[in-house]
Amino acid sequence: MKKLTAKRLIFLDKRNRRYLRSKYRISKREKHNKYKRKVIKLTDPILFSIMEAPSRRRAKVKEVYKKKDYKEPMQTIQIAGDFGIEEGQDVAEFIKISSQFVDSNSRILKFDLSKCTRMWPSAVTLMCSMKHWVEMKSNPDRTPKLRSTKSGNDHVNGYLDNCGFYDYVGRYKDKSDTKFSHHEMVKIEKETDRLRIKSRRDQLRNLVTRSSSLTPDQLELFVDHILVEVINNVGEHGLGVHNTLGWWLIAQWHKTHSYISMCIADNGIGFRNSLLSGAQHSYIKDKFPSIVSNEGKAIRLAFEESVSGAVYAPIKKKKITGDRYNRGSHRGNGLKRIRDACKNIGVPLAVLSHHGYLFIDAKGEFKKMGHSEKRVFAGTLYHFLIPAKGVDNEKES
Amino acid sequence: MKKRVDVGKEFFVDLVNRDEHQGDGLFHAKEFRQKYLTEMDNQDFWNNPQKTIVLDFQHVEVLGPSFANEAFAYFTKFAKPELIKTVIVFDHISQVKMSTINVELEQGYKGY
Repeated sequence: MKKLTAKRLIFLDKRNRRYLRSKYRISKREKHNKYKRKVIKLTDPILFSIMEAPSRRRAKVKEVYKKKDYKEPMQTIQIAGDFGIEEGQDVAEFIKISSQFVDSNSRILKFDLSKCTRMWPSAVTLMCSMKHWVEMKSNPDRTPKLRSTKSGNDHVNGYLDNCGFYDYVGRYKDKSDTKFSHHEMVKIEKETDRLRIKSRRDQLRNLVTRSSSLTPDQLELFVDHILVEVINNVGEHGLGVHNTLGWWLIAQWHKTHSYISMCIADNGIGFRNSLLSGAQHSYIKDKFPSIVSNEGKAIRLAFEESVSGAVYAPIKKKKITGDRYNRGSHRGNGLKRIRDACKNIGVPLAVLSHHGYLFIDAKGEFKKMGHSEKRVFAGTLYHFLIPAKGVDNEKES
Repeated sequence: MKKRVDVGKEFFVDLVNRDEHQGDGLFHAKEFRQKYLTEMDNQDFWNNPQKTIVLDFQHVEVLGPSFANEAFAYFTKFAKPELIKTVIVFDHISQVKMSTINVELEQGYKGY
């Protein structure tokens, strides 16, 4: 028999060990797969749908926030007149302008505000969300630059400074003689601390208590049903990046218009993507297929039906009397409560979510609904117009 | 047996979060249920309820629908809303807050 050299023996020993290790790994994997098959077989399909929801949600987030190259040359966006959704007649123009730049691929986006006569809180929220959007969509060090010119209207420059916009986006401040009272507004800020949610909610609550024309009962309904639910919603759907929580709020009392404009927004994946990636996705897809191609319809569905985009929402079960949830606590009614409360106290509500928008009037009727091929908002915006004391009755109070 | 809880003083004034994932995650409905209503979390209790709890809302400032749903409508899987309201009694509660609880109890029970 041929004598093996020491070197050869070491080689064979190592090879044997490698073989045993791989055999062990394969048997372990087989065992695990067998267990997985058994569990899946035993698991209720509804429970299984809930179990796989987080990965579906992660995939949607990746899809929405897929990095892109901002390579195209500078784009200038002209903003003339009043910019915002507060006044009904400006809505179409707002949608038209926002759809020009949210999905833009330009290296530099320049907002020409020279002819802008008013920036409403909704427009400020749009701009702040845009800053987050480009930061999340671009590769590091290739973030497109956002620039804006000074407005010919001193009121616009003053408002952008006082409402916290310049601090938020890190722009130098234009000199302005227009001053705003801080009792008339809640500034937009980078929300960075979960523990500040109560104090931010209280700021909005104090503003509405001070300046709205709501009765004490209406005020209580507004705070309990609208403010709490919307802030919970944006907190849940906002994607915390760059040391922020992924949501914003801003409010302003417009005395001459006799209303408070309140915007609460998040940078989440939007109504349609949430509904189609939550635990109820297959039920929603089967029952309401039209929402797949129309985000406006997805928003409307969320306000009409008891459906939820939450990852761990319960699933409706088929029963003779129709699809129902099991008895007990469940999710999916928050937006219906918000709509009902708005109707009860006469507050118009607008929602913009990525490609879709929905406007609900003070009577709770759906007024405008639509879907735009290009994004109209980078996230989801809830906008409320709360009846307030005007210039005349301010002193009376 | 009757137990009385001053919710605003003993728990918190803002009742807004469903669970630890919602809002600031503090003073949420699940915690409230486990702290004060844990004995009620089984069918046997509701078959023959022997105890009553009085929740005093005098110092409560905010009550959100999500909290009401998770804290109270949760029990509709064991009993009807009428029975729940005889066992969990709400004292010094505003009309708005009571209607919030009523809506949640009714809809948690009926479903859609």
